[in-house]
Amino acid sequence: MNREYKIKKSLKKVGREILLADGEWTSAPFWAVLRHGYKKDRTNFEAELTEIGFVSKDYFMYIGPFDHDITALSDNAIVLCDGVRYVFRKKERVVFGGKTIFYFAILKKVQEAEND
Amino acid sequence: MIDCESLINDVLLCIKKSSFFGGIEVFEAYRRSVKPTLMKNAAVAVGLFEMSGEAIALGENSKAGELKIFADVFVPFINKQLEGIEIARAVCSAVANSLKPSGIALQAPYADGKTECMVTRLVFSFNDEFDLGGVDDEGI
Repeated sequence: MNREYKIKKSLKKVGREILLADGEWTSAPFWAVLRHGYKKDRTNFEAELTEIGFVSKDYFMYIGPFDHDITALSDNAIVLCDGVRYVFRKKERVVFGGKTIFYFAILKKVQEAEND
Repeated sequence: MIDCESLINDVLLCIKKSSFFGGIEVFEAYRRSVKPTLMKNAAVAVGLFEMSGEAIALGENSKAGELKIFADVFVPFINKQLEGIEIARAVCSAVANSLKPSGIALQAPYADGKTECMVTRLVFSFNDEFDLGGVDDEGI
């Protein structure tokens, strides 16, 4: 089996069911890994008070399958997982042997305004 | 006389009165609520910047000096229609026309990564005798 398919199969075992949405378009559900960034920087889970309110620093690492090209999405695209929305802050294609084997991204959890 | 208790509210009110701020949120700075990640509109946060005063005469309890109020204009990076400087100008004219501050300072806009906004800071100075509020205990 090709590497990209092996990774996709592994994502189904360890990942979470997610959706991509970009404007009117929404993808079919698929499996990807979302991991909170606080394991890399312990302060990332603490909201910080600014002049315009508390700002969340909830960053997540995304690893998704080769057949969902996140680099083709617009800047307004979001990831939906368990009713929570995430926006992309960085998107990368990971290539091995001339083939895309998975996609990597940094996501930020979306905080809604309290009156939304 | 500067009413220290109500000056921030007075600044907020005179900004909100202007029709320019229809779609712009105007509020007191450091509010204890969540800033939405995907902020669509600009916001103006008003707060106390600095206050310094001293007795107006020897043996007098009354204080006079300078009180500075800041008004920070936040324009989200994703909003390409609004300009912080335009909003700052509108804040300036709203406050200058109704409260007559003794000084206005405008700082250069800067990009704030935490809030993902361009921030333009305005500082209004008021010089006069302070009304610090509370109960006057001189007669006790």
